[in-house]
Amino acid sequence: MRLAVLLSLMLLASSAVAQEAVDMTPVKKWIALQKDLRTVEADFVQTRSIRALRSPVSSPGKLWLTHTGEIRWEIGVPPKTVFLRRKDTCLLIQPQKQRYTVLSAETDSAFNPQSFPMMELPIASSFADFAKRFEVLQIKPDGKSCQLEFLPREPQARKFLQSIRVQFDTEDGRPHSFEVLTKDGAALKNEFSNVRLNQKLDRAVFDFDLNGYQSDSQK
Amino acid sequence: MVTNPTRRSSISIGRVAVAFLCLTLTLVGLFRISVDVDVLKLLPGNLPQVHGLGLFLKYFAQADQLILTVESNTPETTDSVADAIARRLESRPDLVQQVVSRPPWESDPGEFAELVAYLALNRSPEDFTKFANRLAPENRAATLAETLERITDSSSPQEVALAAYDPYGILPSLQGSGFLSSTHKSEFASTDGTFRVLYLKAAHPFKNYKATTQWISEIRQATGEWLHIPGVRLGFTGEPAFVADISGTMQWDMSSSGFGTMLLIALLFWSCYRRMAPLLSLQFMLVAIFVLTLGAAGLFLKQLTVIGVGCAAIMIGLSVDYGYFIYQRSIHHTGTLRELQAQCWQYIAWTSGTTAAAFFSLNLSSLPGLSQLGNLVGMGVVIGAIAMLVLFAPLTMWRRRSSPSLHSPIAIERLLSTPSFLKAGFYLTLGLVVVLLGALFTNGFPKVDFSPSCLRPRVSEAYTALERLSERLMDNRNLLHLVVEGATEEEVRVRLQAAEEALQKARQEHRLASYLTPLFFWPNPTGQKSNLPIAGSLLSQITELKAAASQAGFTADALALTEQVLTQWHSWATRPASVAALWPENRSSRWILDRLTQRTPERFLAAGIVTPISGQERAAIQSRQLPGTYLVNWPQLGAELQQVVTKELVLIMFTLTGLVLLILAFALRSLKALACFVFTTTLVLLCLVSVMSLLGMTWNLFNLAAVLLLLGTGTDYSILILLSLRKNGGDVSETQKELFLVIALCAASAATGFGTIGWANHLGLAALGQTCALGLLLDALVSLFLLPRMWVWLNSASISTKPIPG
Repeated sequence: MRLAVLLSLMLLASSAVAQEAVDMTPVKKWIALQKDLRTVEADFVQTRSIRALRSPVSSPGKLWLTHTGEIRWEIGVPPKTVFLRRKDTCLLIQPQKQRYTVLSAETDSAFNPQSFPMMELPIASSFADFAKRFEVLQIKPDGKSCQLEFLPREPQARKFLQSIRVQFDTEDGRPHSFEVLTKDGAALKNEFSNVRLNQKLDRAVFDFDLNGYQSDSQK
Repeated sequence: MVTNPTRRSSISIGRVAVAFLCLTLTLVGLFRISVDVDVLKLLPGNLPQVHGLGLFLKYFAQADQLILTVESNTPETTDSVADAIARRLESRPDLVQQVVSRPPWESDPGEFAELVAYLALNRSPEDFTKFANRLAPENRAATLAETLERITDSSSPQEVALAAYDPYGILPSLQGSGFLSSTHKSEFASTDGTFRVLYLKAAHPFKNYKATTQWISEIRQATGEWLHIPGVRLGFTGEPAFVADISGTMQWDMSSSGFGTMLLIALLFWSCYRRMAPLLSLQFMLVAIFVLTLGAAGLFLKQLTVIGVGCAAIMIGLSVDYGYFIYQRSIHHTGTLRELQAQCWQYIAWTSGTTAAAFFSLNLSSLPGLSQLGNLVGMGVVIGAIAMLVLFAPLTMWRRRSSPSLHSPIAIERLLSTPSFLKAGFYLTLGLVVVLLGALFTNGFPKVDFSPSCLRPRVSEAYTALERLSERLMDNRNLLHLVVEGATEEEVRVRLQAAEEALQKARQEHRLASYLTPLFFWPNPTGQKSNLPIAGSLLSQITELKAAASQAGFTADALALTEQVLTQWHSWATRPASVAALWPENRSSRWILDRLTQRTPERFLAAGIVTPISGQERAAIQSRQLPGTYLVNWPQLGAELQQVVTKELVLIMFTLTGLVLLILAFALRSLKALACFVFTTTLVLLCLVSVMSLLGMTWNLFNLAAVLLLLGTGTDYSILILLSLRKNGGDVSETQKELFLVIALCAASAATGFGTIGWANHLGLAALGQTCALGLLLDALVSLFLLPRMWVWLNSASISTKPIPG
């Protein structure tokens, strides 16, 4: 009995030490670097793995983000799906089918980029904010690169998510990859390339001419 | 005088027979009576809002389900408590038939296949043929390639999940149905996990409200150990909780206001007369009148509503007036019983006649709650007048003979008869009236509030829990409910299609924000009949379909749903033919469809949701009136009531005023007396409105009817004074001696009767009680102190030279 108690105490102690031992410095630095981000422009390859498919499927894409919350996220070249967010308007456009859906902040979970497999920058306004919203599972520094594995604290998200992994450059904060793993064994990974930070973006990128498009908006 | 013994014996037998008949009828009536807590029963059933909301509450509010909410500060605690309660209740089959604490399809996703099979079968025959072609050997590869492309390029997790597990696209597109958008809203838990909901179905149907109350109490006992854990809050709501809450408070309101009124009347009587025997006789008479009236109500009315419970206190407060009048008369009476009865009859007939007329006139209102209150009190007043004249008068005379000291005037009567009392009363009342009229000029009239808030109880745990549920999960309170009814499935389908078109148009015209109709889930009998033979044959191709999917890169998991759906279609296709439409039957399907569709042998119903644009609700409702289609919610019900009921009450008020004036014209036979009556009544109403405004009270559905009641009840005092003044040739001091004590007692008792329901749990009933109590007191003051002066002033030329006291 005493041995069991002793072993339990040792396990508890080692777990506490292990928790303390996680060095948050790269994350703190990455979040601090995000404060200086004004715009992000990148190409990416989106790879989806699901249990219903024997092998993953991939598609190239492009993204544009601004620190004021505007997003354009295109999948397919030429784009087959475009997710566009400006202020409080959110559109899901299918250019090849010439259809679009206006998403509502109140009724569509898809309005929230966390529900879409996309990354938003800054991911948090400060490390304290990040720690409040996310639980850090693992940090793996690797030279100039670092992999952060975390999980939202929101119970609804935790019901479905296994973890979220972000690989980033520790020096300038640019993202290398962003991966969402779900509890049913599915994964969606976006590997970024040609990442351009704080470049002046053409404002027209956040506009889309919907002339001739048919609306599929929710009733 | 010689009395014929045979005649006396036959009179006695006749009296016994009448008493026996009364007793039997009363008992039958009392056994028939039951309570109805449905607040919509208080409202006019011919209004579209009332009818539609009634349908929604009856068929879609899950009347047999108790909603148990669990809330704590952490999701872990909430989960552990909710799961423990679910386990505990599941182990009590004597108490609970079913406990649903999580979406049924989460515990058994396979059940979802039946619903998918049903939805796909509802497609139009052309659409289904297109789908079947996609499965044909020559088209399979292209169909699967298209699905893969959708999985690769979609940014919607929902679309990806659906496509991955439905590679042949069996499920009709949910895009545009509106159901994808709200899927993140849960009926079971809040987003942060600290609030959980359990849906409980009772083991047996409830026979009556007492069985419901008993069941709720047993559920509370079974969950008792979690009720007192610090930081954990349990709530009970849903129809059974409302029934238990409201019926409990109805009983309390009725008994407490009735007993309270009796007690206060006893105190008033004792403080004036200090005689025990007549007090006991009077109390006995009041109980007898109440029981007789309730028995009579049981014979004519099947169910007592929440408003009806106020009748006890009101009818006691009014009936006692006749008792006071007879007793006060008997003190100075020197003749026989018949002479006393004849003297009192004239006064009581006029006053009870106007009071009963006022209450019965509430039948002209389309509000069933008010009609019931009117009938109950009207019957009570008539029974009270008869019982007091026939039974109480003899009792009083008998007591008087055995106690001669009754002849001497009592102290309070002497005080009320003094000239200085009349003078002081006149100046004080005049001062009060001037102040109140001034205040009315400054403050204006009370506000009008026809919102349905007056229909709800003041305190209700079930309401509190429901409000919390709306705050934490989904707030439906301002949404409009779409309710479509029809005699057949096809009729409802056609009406739903018409409603969908009308809503689409209204949305384009910016008269509503969004809508969700259950058309997607409604059966298509024609489509089903045409599609089922094709659907049933598809199971024979399952091996080839699996092989093609595997070749395209899909795993065996991806084809599980397809196989289950094809098996379901095969099962439906091979069962005996039926003319009825197919409906899914399993637990998960029923859980979803019960919220959108309902079937009874007589009718079919469908429910949807419309999100209005603020301020455009009426426009959305009136945009297109369709048969059997209703857009309803509580705020709109209030708006409709305000429109209809205000007009109606004004009409009744004029009718009643005319009726009262006609009765008075016969009773008083004097234009000047009528003018006095009109003037004092107007003054009373203006003062009442002023007091209401000063107290911050508002006009609602129920206290607007108080004006009608005041016309019938409060005017009694003016009538008595005017009759007495006429009889005494304008001698105010004689009228003062004759009536002041009795009117003071009557007003105090009636105000007590109404006042005790001023604290009733039902807010409408309480407002009615408060308004009537205030009005009666004002009426008594104006009638006692201002009316005689005015009458004398108007008749100064024709009155004898007797001086006016004071």
